[in-house]
Amino acid sequence: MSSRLDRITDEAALWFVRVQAPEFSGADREEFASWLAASAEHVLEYLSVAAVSSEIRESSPGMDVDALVALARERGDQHNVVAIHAARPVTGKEPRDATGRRGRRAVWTAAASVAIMGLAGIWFALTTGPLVHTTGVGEQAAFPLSDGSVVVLNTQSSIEVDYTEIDRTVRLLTGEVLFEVREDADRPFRVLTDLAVIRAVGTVFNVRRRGEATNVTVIEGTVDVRLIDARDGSGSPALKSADVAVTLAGDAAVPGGLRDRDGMVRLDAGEQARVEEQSHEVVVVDANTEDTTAWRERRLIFESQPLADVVAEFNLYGDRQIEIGDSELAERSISGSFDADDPESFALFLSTADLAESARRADGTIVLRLPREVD
Amino acid sequence: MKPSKAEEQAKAKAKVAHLFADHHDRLEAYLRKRLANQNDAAELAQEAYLRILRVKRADLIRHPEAYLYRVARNLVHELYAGHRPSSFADVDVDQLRSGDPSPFDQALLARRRELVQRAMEELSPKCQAALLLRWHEDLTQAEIAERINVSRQMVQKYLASGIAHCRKRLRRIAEQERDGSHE
Repeated sequence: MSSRLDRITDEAALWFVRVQAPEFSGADREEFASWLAASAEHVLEYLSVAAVSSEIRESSPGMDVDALVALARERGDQHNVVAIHAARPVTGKEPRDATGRRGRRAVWTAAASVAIMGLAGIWFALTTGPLVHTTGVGEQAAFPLSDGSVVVLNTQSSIEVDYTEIDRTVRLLTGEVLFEVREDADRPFRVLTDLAVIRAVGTVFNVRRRGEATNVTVIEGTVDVRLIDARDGSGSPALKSADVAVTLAGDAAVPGGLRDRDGMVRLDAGEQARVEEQSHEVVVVDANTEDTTAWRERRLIFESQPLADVVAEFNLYGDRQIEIGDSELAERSISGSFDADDPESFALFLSTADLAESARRADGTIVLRLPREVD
Repeated sequence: MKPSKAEEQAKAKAKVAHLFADHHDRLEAYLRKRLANQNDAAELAQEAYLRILRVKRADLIRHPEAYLYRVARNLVHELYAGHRPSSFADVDVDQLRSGDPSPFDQALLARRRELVQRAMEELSPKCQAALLLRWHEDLTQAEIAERINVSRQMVQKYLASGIAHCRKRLRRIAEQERDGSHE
């Protein structure tokens, strides 16, 4: 009767062990997530197995590990005699005495940490000063922050997370990020780009900083967008004025480095603020929030956008680049929904729609040209 | 720039580390106590599971284990915040908060430890050694491989089968105690 449960226990134990191995990959995580989401029994077994590991920590004071090890080595399995000389990690480990045993206290401390080891790593990694998260070409990644908020980075994006006791600041250095902010009235959450300060309370929003504009789209909740006026402060560079905002921006008070109230715009769900570098103004428009976050499914959705922008977007995702061969093409208006990882299909779409012809260069680059006249 | 900034940050870090350690102990105590009792464990898992389903799929994939523990942590947190669901009404919040288990819980936990220990003794020396090196001595899987002279894959196999064996033993005993007529 319990053979089915036993099988689940075996699976849970294997996952528990594999998760802690350094080679646990993205594909493994996906599989593990599916396994967890498959049933409550899986969740129960996983937690139970984790709990057993903590019993092991505290049990067996009478068992002599060294004797066991000696016994184990003596009976070395014939098919597995190769010792793996792995480098011993030294960071954060307590020194051992001659027998390789750590103090009882250390064991206890370790015991306290067993059940949430995965969390511990993330927590400590994220609470020790400013932290930079970056994604490469075509890469997307989600990072849980220490307060329970989550940031999802699109391709070629970079953020700096700076959490202190009194506030939570994320600097969007470049790219596009979806923020899911956990509410905390005592520690305001702010996103800084070199053009704007975005303040959020328990909400979901997307910020994009590429080229000459910052776009803020609110999916859920409300955010305030405030311009940073880089022209104040004796023409200091834009990023420097963002720094001023980090250190000075109080909750209600607007410091001198920022524009006053008139520079602040409140956005509700479904609204998008576009901050243009040139005009230095905030324009609020209605946004399709599904399209805005379609990048999470690696879809690129365009509505009457110039080909130059569309091509630039594609080029963020892959090694296969697209180039506009005839400058006349740059302003052609493009609408459609495309797979970010499939520029070939996009090129095919362009030729089928008679918008542009494409050729391949030796390095694989797709070159777009004006379609030839058909006489 | 500001002379006190480094100091402030160090203070904040220390506070967070402390908070976290505190939290750790509570979750640990909570999980173990809950999981020692089959019915409570099932309830906890059910609630955790429902919440896991609400986590965005892409996020879950990024850090499945962290999310699971976060869900468990949140369940604990709710107990302290007083928004505890009725199904957890029997939890002794004060005791959990103090991290000081009642005599009953202590006996329960001591018995679990004993059962796990006995289950471990049924395993092969290699398997036992791997379990102890991993969770008693806190060695990494690579270090264990070196120590007992087997491959990393074998270490994983020993750890997984060893811990699964202990868990099955505990479950069997719990099942027998719950209904003597079982099986």
